[in-house]
Amino acid sequence: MSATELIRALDKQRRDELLPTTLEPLDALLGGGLPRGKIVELAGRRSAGRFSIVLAALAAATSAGEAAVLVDLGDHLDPQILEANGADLSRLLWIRPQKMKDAVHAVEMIAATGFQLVVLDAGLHPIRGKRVAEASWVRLARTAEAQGTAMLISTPYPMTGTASEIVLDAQRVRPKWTGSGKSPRVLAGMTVDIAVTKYRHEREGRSARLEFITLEAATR
Amino acid sequence: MTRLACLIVPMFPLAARLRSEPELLSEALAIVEGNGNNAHVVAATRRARKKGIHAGLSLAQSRSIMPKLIARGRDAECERTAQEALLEVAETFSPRIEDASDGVIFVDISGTERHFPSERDLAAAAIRACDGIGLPARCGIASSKLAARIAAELPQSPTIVNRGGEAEFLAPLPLVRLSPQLDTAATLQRWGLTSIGELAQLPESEVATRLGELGRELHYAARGIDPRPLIPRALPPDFREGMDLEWPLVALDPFLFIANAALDRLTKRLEIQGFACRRLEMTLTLEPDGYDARAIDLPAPTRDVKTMLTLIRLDLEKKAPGAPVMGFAFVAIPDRPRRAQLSLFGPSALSPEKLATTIARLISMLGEDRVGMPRTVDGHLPDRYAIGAYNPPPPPDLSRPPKKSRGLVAARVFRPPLPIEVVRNDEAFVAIKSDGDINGDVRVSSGPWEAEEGWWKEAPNFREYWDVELEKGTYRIYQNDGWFADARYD
Repeated sequence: MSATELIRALDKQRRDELLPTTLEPLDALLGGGLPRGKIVELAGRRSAGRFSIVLAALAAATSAGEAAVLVDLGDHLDPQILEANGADLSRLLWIRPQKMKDAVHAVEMIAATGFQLVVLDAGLHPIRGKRVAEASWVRLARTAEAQGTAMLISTPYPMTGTASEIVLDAQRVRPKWTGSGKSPRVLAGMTVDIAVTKYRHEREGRSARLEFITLEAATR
Repeated sequence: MTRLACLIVPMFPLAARLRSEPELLSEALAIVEGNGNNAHVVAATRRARKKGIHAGLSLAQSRSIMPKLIARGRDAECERTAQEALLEVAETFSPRIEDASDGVIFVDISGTERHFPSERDLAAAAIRACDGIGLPARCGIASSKLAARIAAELPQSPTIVNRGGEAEFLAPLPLVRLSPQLDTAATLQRWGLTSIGELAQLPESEVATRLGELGRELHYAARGIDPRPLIPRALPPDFREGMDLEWPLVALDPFLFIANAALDRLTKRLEIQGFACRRLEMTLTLEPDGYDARAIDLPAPTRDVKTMLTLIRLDLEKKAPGAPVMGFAFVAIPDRPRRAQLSLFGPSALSPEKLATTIARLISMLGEDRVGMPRTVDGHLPDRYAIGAYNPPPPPDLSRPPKKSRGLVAARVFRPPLPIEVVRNDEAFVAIKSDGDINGDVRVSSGPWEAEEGWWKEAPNFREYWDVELEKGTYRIYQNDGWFADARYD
């Protein structure tokens, strides 16, 4: 085998690998992790655990030495929480656009640079700036495929249409509190249900339950 | 024996101008020097020369021959940058070069035999390289500067003078090739001398007696003896491109159009030397007088013209020069482009140049404080953050598994915090209202958690935080001269 063939084979192998989020129930739903070269859309309304999943995915990728990007449309990131989650912040590029159009443009530019994980968090409802055309998502899907980039799009409602490989629907169950009666209450965590509403070439309708805990509960 | 190559660009003022404005190549163009009635032609394009325009004619005479003649003044900036570009091409053949100005370069080619099959191939390669930067050059190779220069001036380029054959090469050439001073030329003509060989045959002492030291030097030159050594030039500290404009520019787009061509030339020169641009300095010459100088720092060394143009556009839009622009000069501060080692068994490395270019474009699109690496900040208030320049470490040599996530609840921070109205009774919170979508009865609340920063100041930042669960979400709220929601648990 020549060096060129070796490089090509390794590149193909790398593309076939999945990028785990290390949230076991979610990785099981996705067949092992976020697929490279594909768009995974995560839709969910208020307090549905979308941002917790985004931070877990970023922490997993950067801790494995991969370069990752967070395009944070709502400017919501708290670097302290992300670092506490195990992320290597030096490998993370944080982009804070103010309009959806700029965010999609930024994702397209940055994916073409060769980042292995690109996350677009569209923030809260209503989304800042006008809705982008579906053709933009198709273009993003092509860029992701060409570069072998795993792309996670977190939105308050489904937007990517036919461009996404997988669409996950996040539903809040309830936050967990410690203490009862007259004793002081403390927020301890959150339970989130995730359902697969679209999965090309795979069975839809499967679901999983994710448990998240607060930093205070984790350090207690 | 030292071997020297001479690169010469015929009609250098014209060639330098055509390098900046290549669309004039097929036009009848004359380069003039001087103003008003003193303006005279120094060089003209082939189309103009065919009509009888030649160096030395006044502009008025030229216009009477050819009314549609396009006249351009000599542009010192164009000529300077063309000379720099020529020097850089020469440096790709040998590190020892001499700048003889006005489109003439001497190159010490001793020791380059292993790189080129013959001196003729080297000369042909040098001519091709000069053509590549838009300067049609001729090349001559000999063992002395004088013979190399005269060989380069001959029309059948390249001309190679054999080792030790300088006198033989010069002998049949007319004396004017030695460029003797005008009065000396007249004297030699009276003596009946026409060729260099005839002068070389005269006794040296007799020539020196009659013409002085100048005559002795001329006699040496005629015998192919040139004692002048090559004087190597020091490396230039910067790369410069620019031009004086015929008409003042007041709009941005025409300026960027011309700047694009200049930056393209600049980046090509940087590429030849293996450099990229780390900082771009721009000087605009304003009408009627004055300058506007500014510098654009690039996030990382790059040679991407589009990025530089975007940054120039943004800079000029942010602060216009305030007067029409009569000329411009770009100076690139060079730096070695960043390189990344290809990893076979680890995560893919990012191309540093591609990354720098993309980040520069993102910064120009979104603003400097909106792209970078997130950084933690020491403090007590939970919404603190900082952003720094993105300069990721190289990826590990071998792929490693990710660390298991702690599965922490993320707080989606609101920047700025949203003002809310809190309804509470003596014991607990009852409801929260706001202009946005944070509304509803409070199901569970916990707090207060006190946080204070700057206690040593007159007005310390003291806040009391609560976590509250509403029907449509769980929020972090605080009180500090009013109530605010600063995050949603998501």
